[in-house]
Amino acid sequence: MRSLGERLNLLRKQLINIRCGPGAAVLPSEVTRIHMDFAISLKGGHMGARKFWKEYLPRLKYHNPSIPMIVNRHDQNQLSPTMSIYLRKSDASPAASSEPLAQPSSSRTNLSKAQPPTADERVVHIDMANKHSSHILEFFMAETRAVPLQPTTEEIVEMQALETLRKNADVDRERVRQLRLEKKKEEDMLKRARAAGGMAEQEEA
Amino acid sequence: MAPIDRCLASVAKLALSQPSIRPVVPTIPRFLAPALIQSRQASVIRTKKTTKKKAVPKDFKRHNLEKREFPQHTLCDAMRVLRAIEVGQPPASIKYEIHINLKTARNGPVIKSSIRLPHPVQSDWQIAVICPEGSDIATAATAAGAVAVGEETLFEAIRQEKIDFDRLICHENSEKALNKAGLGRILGPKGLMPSKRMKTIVNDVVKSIRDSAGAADYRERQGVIRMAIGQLGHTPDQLKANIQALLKKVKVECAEISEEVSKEVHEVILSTTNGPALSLNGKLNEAESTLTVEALSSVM
Repeated sequence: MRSLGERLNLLRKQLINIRCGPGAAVLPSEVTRIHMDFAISLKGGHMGARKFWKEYLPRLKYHNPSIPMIVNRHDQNQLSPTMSIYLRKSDASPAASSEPLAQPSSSRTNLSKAQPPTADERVVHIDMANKHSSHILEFFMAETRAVPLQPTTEEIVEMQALETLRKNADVDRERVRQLRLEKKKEEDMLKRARAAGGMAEQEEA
Repeated sequence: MAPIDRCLASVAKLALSQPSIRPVVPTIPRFLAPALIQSRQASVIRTKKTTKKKAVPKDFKRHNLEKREFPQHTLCDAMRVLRAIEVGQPPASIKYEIHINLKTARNGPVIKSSIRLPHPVQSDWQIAVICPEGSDIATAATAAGAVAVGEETLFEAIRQEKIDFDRLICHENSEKALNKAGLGRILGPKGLMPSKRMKTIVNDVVKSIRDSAGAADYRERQGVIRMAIGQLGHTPDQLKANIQALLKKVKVECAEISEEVSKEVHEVILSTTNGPALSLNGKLNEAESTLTVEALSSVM
């Protein structure tokens, strides 16, 4: 079992990574759901979409836990990867949209295709083909008018502490590597000497 | 007559010129007098290096979490982080896992049992039943949902490693046939070998099938109980019901099992298939938290 300190440091890193960074933003209340559709393999410009899902979507989901974010992956690389953002129409009352959504959950096997919007929703599509993930994020932020969250002072302090920890770890790693190298060198030398000496003894005999 | 010194000198020379100065070991067969034979002539007595092994402590190490200020989360906070990490994954294939760290001795009795969770993680078990072929029991078992029924046919399938079930139940009447078949080498490592202790050799097969259909096994290994506790799609209330049911059962078993040694729950940790492990503090949600339970119940 891992020691408590090791567990703590790994956890701190993961928690700060999901809280802060690009993609940490609060979506306005008119966004009802997000749907992403792309292929499992990256051929045909699907790389950016996958990276967006892996890098930024967890942060978005953390800050907007109630918004369904559906990822539908499939094996049809000829299709262009698209993101659909479902927005509530400005004139519709929020109470009217409380009816249950007929939205299937995420799938690896093309089972949850993008649904047509309900009566009080409109859809914005973003074409993600051949785009870098950070580029897709810019489009996304512009379309939804999301408010990026700035890290608080505590979070900045935490990040700096983790950074010093990482730097110290690098220094220590290098020091231990040198020590091990030295030890190995000495051992090798001894081994070679022993092999040579053994030969000499055999010749004498 | 030559002076004695000269003689001595020549003797010494003779002795020196001889290749072996070391005394020759008399060639007495070893079995005759092993104690008398001096096998070594080393003048330096090497002291044996004795590194004393540190004694392994009796109990598993359990840190004081409060003293070390280890962060503990409410269930809703933990679910928020885990749901964020697992975003976009098919919710049926991603599971919540629970790890219960026990404060317990390294040796001694371990907890090993099964539980029917209020909201089962996996409900479609494939069950096979060993019972006399063509009997009433066989037909009843098939009716109850067993995928394979029989005696020799089933044994033959197992010998050919054609195992398409994940539970194996044996009827009491077929116990002898099972022991004779000698399948322990194949079934043992998979944990499928029926035994009385695991309650998989039974009299009432149908009841056992019904019981084990929604049940999940758990056991203590190295002082920790690990098991899948829910699907990613479960709501906080469902997950809470599952965790409470399991903890209640484990606590009862802890109290039952320990005659001399004490065994108690030390820490409860929640994680998912790909997620980090978060220590729980036993609360569902903070009172003044903006996070609601409904927010964590949406479609993944």
